[in-house]
Amino acid sequence: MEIYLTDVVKQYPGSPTCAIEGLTLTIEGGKVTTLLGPSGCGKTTTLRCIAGFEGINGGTLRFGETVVSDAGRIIVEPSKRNFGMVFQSYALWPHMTVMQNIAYGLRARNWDKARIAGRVDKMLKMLELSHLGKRYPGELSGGQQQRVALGRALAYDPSVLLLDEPLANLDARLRDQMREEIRALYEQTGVTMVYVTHDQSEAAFLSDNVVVMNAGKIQQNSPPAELFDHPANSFVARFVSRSSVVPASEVRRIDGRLRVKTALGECDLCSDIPVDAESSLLVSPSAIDVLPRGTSAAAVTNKAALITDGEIVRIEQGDIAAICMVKVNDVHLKAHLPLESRFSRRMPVTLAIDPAKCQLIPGC
Amino acid sequence: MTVQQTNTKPTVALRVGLRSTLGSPVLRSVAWAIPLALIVGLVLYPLLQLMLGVLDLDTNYVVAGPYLRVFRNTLIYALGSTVMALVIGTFLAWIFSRGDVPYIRPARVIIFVGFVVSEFIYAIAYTFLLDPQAGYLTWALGGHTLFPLYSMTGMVLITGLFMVPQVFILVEPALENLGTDLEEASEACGANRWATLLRVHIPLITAALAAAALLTFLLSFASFGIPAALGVPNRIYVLSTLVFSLIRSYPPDFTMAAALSIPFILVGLLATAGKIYLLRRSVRFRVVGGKGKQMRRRHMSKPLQAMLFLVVWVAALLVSILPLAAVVFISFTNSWSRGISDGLGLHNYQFILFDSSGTANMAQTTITVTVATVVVVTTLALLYALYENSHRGIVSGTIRMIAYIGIAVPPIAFTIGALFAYIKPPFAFYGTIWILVATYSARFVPIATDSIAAGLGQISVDLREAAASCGASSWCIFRTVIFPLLWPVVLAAGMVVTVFALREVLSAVFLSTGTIRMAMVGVFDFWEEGNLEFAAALATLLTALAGTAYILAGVLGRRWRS
Ligand SMILES: Nc1ncnc2c1ncn2[C@@H]1O[C@H](COP(=O)(O)OP(=O)(O)OP(=O)(O)O)[C@@H](O)[C@H]1O
Ligand SMILES: [Mg+2]
Repeated sequence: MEIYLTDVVKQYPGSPTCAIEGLTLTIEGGKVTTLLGPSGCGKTTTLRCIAGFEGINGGTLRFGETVVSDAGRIIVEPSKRNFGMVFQSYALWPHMTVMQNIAYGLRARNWDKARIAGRVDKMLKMLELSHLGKRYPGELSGGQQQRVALGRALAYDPSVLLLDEPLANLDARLRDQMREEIRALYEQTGVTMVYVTHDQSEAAFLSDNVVVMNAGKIQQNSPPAELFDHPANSFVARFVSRSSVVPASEVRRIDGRLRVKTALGECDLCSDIPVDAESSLLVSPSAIDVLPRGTSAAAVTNKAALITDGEIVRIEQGDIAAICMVKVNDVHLKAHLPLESRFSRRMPVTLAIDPAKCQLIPGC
Repeated sequence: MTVQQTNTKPTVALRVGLRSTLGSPVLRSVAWAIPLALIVGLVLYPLLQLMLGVLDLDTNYVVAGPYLRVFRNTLIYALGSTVMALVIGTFLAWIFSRGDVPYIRPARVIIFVGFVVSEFIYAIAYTFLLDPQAGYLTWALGGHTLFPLYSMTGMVLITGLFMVPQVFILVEPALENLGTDLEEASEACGANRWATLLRVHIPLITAALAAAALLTFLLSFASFGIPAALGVPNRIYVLSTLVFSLIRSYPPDFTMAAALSIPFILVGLLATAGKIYLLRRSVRFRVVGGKGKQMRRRHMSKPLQAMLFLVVWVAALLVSILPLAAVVFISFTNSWSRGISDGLGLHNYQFILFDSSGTANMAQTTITVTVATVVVVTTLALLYALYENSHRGIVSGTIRMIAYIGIAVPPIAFTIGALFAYIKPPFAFYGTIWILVATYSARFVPIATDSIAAGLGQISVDLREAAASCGASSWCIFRTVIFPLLWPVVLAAGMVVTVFALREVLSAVFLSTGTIRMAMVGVFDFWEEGNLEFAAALATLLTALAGTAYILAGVLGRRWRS
């Protein structure tokens, strides 16, 4: 089922600023949409407005054709919205067994006993919890509790599943495993999912669509690949991408090319995007060749390259390549290093940056 | 009322320190033994005497019809008012902890104020309002009565109201401690707000509800002022009023009074056992899961807001505002039934403060008994808490259990026990203030013990160990670390005991003699003589005093927490 948010505004009583401001967003049916953003950007608030736990101060919120909330009114109560929710704390009821937790939504829907038993059984099997049905949540491990929470939310075939940082309480290994399980569950059930996280790799792995938010506003809404390749602005770039963001001090249009002046020097980009007052150069690691200090411009094959000097401040050894951080005139750039290189920390180097692999993005 | 959960870490530092200061083990045990024996003795001796007193009774006599009827009455009365207080108190606690209702915060404070109001004030105030002949509300309704005041219904309803603040105080923190995502999960699953309240909230606050139910039940059992004021005029007796009439009759029938108390000891102990069972059970259901709990107020629709707003303010009105306003108003009238038309003035206060012959004596008794009780109770509780902290084991556990008997046994039974115990040597306290001090102390020691032990448990063990590692002796640790941190708790406990001592009707009336009269006995006597105006004036003064102590306790408690 589609969910439509139109100009949604939410301001908590007593708070001077809006937690979300004019949010317009379509959550597509049968897909996984992720709300991604830094702490306090309004992800949880958005999710809770969708759930109906919070009213909205402006705009409308529709589930399919039905308006469920509009300014100041909750038209459809949360209990009537038919969604499933997985909480960061799991919020399992400690006084009910695993089975009772999962059956709760079915009982609320007045299913008959046999049908409930059948469905609970199916859910337990699907989540590989069959042997734990009679236990209380306090007697389960973190990962098992997480699965019970998922089972409880999915048991009654909700039209949308809302998840608020469901993996935040798990340790790293379990988190990787659980996100695979969540993806698998999604593929089995095809339920529409809205997933809140501040972890970009989780977002990239799980989602069909990523909505990046900051300070209550949408910064970009696109599939993950697009997000990484073409961040809409410097905020998104800084938040998700591996590329370095270098503020531009001056951008001029010269013969159909853009001349961009940054702390790295000047370079020309072939781009026909309109020039904003404030923009930044996005430099991907693969655009940078790290060379020994003193390499002359003549020795660089790419004649358009921007040549500049810097110093390596940090090297992170990866599996395939090393990544280093190079400091150039107070700007830090991320670059790849060949595996068997002679570079080391504090070493002065020369960089050749290929403008063809750089982009100009709004914001600084 | 947390019995078991308070600090579980024994303080090594304290134990080591105390060993070194108090020198020889024998001396040390004797030093500890005195306060502990006092606690045990204060509680057990009256009960023992009560049991002995019953032995010379003809049992056939007890199962006779009239007495059975009184048992039944008492059960109906205590259960009825408990259920009523539980329902209203829990609902109010839910509204205050969960509701998104504007303009109700002041009502919360007002309901809290109801806690210091003595049950007698309720009786006086509601007589004034609902008396079928002269009540103001009856008059306002054109002679109609809402319900018969001098009946079981009247007793249950008024006592139920009186107990509401008690329930509220115990249940609200439990609800506040319950993260709201548990109930949001329930609504997400399709259960509406009310189903959630029944299936998620209530089961999860069982422990607090049980504690509140038990306390309310036992307090209703002990309740004397309201049944005396509203039941006796229509010859509806409950145990406390029957026992009182047996003692006041000539010749007083102490044996029968004692015998009638025994079943109530059993009920009290049973109820306590039930509470402990529920508490154990609920400990199993610790809320599980991750990042800190969330407290969020849910959006509520305008009609619901309006309804809850009304509920809250009507409750505040009935529980605190009306009783207090009525009593204060009566205290200024010449004749309560004629109200303003007969003129208002300070003459009632003039009379009770300056003209009445017993006043000086009564003030002196009240102050001496209250102060002595507070000193005895806080000292014993502090010593016990320190002991428990360093000697966790069978002895401290048993003493704590015995101290709890003071609460589990209905005060009526305990008070009769005290009569038996202190009327003859070796402790012939009857006719002195000591009978009151001893009885009050035994009854209020567990209240102070609870809060002081909890406070001590919260003083970080690290702090004490740090002091010990600097070479401080135990006395030095107590003086420099524990006491500076703990004194607000001790004082706050003292203030709460003050409230209880000033509020107490039953023990005061039963144990007072000609010259030794607590102020509450004065209120009772004025009432019995039909001087409602004097009773109101004296009650107003007492409430003001108790209110001051209560506010001080609150301020101290807050100061300590920060
Ligand atoms: N109940 C509330 N009352 C007032 N302000 C609130 C409330 N809840 C959230 N806010 C504010 O609204 C803003 C958005 O909060 P929200 O919880 O939606 O952030 P979030 O993106 O979920 O952050 P996190 O990743 O830390 O969970 C924050 O500035 C927060 O301080
Ligand atoms: Mg959040």
